[in-house]
Amino acid sequence: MPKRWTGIAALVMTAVQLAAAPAADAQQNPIVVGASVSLSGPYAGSGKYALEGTQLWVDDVNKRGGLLGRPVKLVYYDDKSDPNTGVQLYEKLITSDHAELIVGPYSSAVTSATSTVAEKHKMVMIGSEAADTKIYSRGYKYNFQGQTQAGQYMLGALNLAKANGYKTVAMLAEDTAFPKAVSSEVVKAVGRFGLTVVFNETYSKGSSDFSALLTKVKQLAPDVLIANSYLPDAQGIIRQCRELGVDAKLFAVAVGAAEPEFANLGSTAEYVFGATQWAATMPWKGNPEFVKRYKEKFGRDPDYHSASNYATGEVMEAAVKQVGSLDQAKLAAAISKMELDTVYGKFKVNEQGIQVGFNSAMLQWQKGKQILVWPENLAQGKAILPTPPWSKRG
Amino acid sequence: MATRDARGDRVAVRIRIGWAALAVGIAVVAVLPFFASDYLVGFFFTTFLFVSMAYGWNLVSGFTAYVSFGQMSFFGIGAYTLAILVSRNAWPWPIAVLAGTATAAVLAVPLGWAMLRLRGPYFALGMLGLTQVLAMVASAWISVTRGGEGIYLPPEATLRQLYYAGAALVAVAVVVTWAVDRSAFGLRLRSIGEDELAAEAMGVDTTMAKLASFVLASTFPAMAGGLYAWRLSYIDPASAFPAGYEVQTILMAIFGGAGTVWGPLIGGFLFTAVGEVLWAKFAEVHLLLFGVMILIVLLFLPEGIIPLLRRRRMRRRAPVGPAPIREEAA
Amino acid sequence: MDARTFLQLLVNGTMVGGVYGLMSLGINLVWGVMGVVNLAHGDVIMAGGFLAFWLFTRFGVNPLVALPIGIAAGLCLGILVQRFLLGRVPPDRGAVKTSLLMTFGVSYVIINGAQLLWGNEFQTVMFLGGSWHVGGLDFAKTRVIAFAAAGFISVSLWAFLQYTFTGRAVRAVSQHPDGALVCGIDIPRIRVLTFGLGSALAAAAGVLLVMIFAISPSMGTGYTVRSFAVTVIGGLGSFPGALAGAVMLGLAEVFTGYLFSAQIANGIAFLLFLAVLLVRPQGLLGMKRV
Repeated sequence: MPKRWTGIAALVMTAVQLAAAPAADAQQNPIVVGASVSLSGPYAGSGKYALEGTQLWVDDVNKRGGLLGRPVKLVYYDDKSDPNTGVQLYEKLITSDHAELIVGPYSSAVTSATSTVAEKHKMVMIGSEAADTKIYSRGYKYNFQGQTQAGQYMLGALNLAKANGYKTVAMLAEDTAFPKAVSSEVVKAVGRFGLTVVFNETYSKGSSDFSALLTKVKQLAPDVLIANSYLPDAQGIIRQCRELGVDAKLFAVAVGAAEPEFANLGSTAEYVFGATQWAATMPWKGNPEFVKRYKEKFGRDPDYHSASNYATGEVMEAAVKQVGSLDQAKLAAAISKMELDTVYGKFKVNEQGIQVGFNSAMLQWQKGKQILVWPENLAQGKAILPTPPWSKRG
Repeated sequence: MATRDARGDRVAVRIRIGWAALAVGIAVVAVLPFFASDYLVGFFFTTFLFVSMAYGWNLVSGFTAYVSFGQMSFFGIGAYTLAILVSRNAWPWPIAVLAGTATAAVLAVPLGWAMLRLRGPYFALGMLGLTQVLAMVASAWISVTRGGEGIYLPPEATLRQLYYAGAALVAVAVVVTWAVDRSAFGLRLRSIGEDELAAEAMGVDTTMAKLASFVLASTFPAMAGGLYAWRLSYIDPASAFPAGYEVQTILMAIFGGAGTVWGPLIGGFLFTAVGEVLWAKFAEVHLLLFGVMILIVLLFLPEGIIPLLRRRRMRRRAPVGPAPIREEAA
Repeated sequence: MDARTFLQLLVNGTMVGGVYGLMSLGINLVWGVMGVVNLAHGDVIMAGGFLAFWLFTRFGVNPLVALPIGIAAGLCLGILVQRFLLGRVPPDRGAVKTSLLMTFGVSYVIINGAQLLWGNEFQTVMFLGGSWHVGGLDFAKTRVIAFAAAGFISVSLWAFLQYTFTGRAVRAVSQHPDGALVCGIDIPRIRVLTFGLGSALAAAAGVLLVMIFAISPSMGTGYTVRSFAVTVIGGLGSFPGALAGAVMLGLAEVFTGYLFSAQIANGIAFLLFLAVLLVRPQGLLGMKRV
């Protein structure tokens, strides 16, 4: 019996210790940068890229002598790709680890929930992995978008369609926040480009058979087919277009064609256009060095998640230098007015905190390679249009 | 219960220790938010949600042996009801949580009536499919749920309020389970779990009993779902019907001991503690280890911790007692 | 809807239905013999698909060549699971419940193991793009091949169960375990074999599936539910029923997708399954069981 009592007593003691531990030391070195990253669960792959982008920035900033004369230390935890865990982790980072700067998590879903924690604790959070603008249009003062906004994604396709005199657009979108946001932006914008949307439907997340939707599209014979999708559905849609002989003069997908795995489609990937937010070859400030150091440190090429997280670091660094302290209200004010050239392009937010500086480019698959074709100042080649009908392709 | 024999004193001491432990536990839970970090409070809040859901599962599946893989259906209903009432009609959140619970209970009547006509694997997978269909409804019924875009809630939740609401939910779950366990209703449920045909032959209205337990069991995940949505301040089909939560809930109940009063509580806390250690030590492989743990528990502790403790105690009391009767499966 | 569209949808639905049929055979067999629904079934399908994907991208192995490899791997996996996990569940009245939960655990392990091995990205094998045009209709090459392979495997299984001694023993255990025991059939061995076969069929279905659709580690549950729905619709233990149920599901998905919306098409499996259960619990072509 006594044994058991001591056990219970020990448990209670640990609980009390756990609970009462922190306080003090807040003002001592170093500056803690807190992040919740997805290292397990569905977003683990991209989450790792995002984390490495932040890690590289922390390295670089320390090489430059730290912030405000103090070294910078990254503290991060795995949020299991789960919004509830993300919320708990930011509470931990802010209240127990005394993070003085925080970095946004991966995905719009997790950011939707954690943005509220940052706002409540009056901590600046740049959502470097959340493209959905609704997160930022809720009147929050401490949340800023660090990713290209959804409205940007299809501008290239619409411009190219206009330049070639195309008239009709058919659009498919996954029924989740970001793809639907892209669709509604396209619907708003088509008028300016002399286009009309003749088909606009959604499909559930995780769908793999698009043959029914595409059979409908085929009957409408649109000039432009836009798929606001991620990688798997982008692949599925393009592939089934070929199988069902669905022809369009221009095929464009929101997310997917920019990923290297799109090459799995082989010759079917040819002529497909895809939105891309960042490429190793883009002439942004510091980009070539970023790519080089990233390869040295992690032994692989960065992807756009790494770059946007690195850019977030750059923005925080510039804001702290400008303000001269870690006062979050002042930092928020500085960021809301900031125009900064980063490895991800020009960072600039509007009065709500929505990103208006970062732009989206368009690439096209040409002979098994991704070639940037829009806008002209970034283009590596010319867009090949119209796409030949499937029956004329081997 | 406790026979007044030579060992009576020991039993009495044991019971007293049990009450003392409970009192200490309640005291710790009551004062925790005043000196613990937000993280710890949030962690306990999440544990409370899971424990109460484990109690819900225990009521329908622990007692009657109708294994449900679809308790998250009611979690989602609770979450969406709260989100809709708060965001559209600006209801105060505690009322919205209760409204979500009521909605789930009302919907559970026809759903239970249909699903409980199924048995064994049919019921188990029927419930699994039900969750999927509700997630589909949530993403297709755009005018009400805003579909895949999700619903944002005002960021007004305070952790301390949620924490106490969660603790109260667990307390209610324990008391309800305790009452059911001792009641004639509980006995009827157990008789269904033992042998449904025999129970029916004995004059038990099995349909009513099963339906009542199904409806009662739906209220706990619904309430947990409402609290969860309020804490997240954002809800979409994926976060309202989280498949992974179902697994955790069921495991907690089994780990502690399905069909017992204290099983879900003890199992829930032990399980969360082990899960937290795995996650902290092996972030990238913790989910895999979690799966391995499920298998180990099922292999070596298929009835959970509580029955194991009870059996050990019985063995100590009556060393030459008859072995527990095990019937061959037909 | 014009006649050509109708026929095209009919073709698409039937082709997918063929693969659904193969998917459901494994779950049907295991359920019939062991009284347990293997909740890891869809995850074995997924693992089979990833195996084919890996062989294809790493070593350039043609998915049709990967088919026997997948079958062998599935067989081994199934035998191990039955031998070391399910076979150890004491046969008391909690056995069915414990086994069900155990397959749930296996499912969890496979999903997370696959995520560690292959990441959580969707993957696909681009093998034979395009389609054949016959009579104004498009027959996607991969779908036709998958349909044919699924048909071939199904017929082989049927012949095995019908004409070999072991196959008959499997059926005997499924129909009357006590009788089978009296006849001297080694029931534990038959169970190991059955579970192995069930997994092998799932893995084969996965190899064929990855030729048509993209797969990811977390998509297994959806296929478990579909396989189960097909079994319920067609009737437990009925071969023609399984095929009819599968084609019916394939057609239902394609036609609701065309006529209503893609979201409804995604949940149609469950709605059909529930409708059949409530109206005709033994399935369309199944026999009534005691």
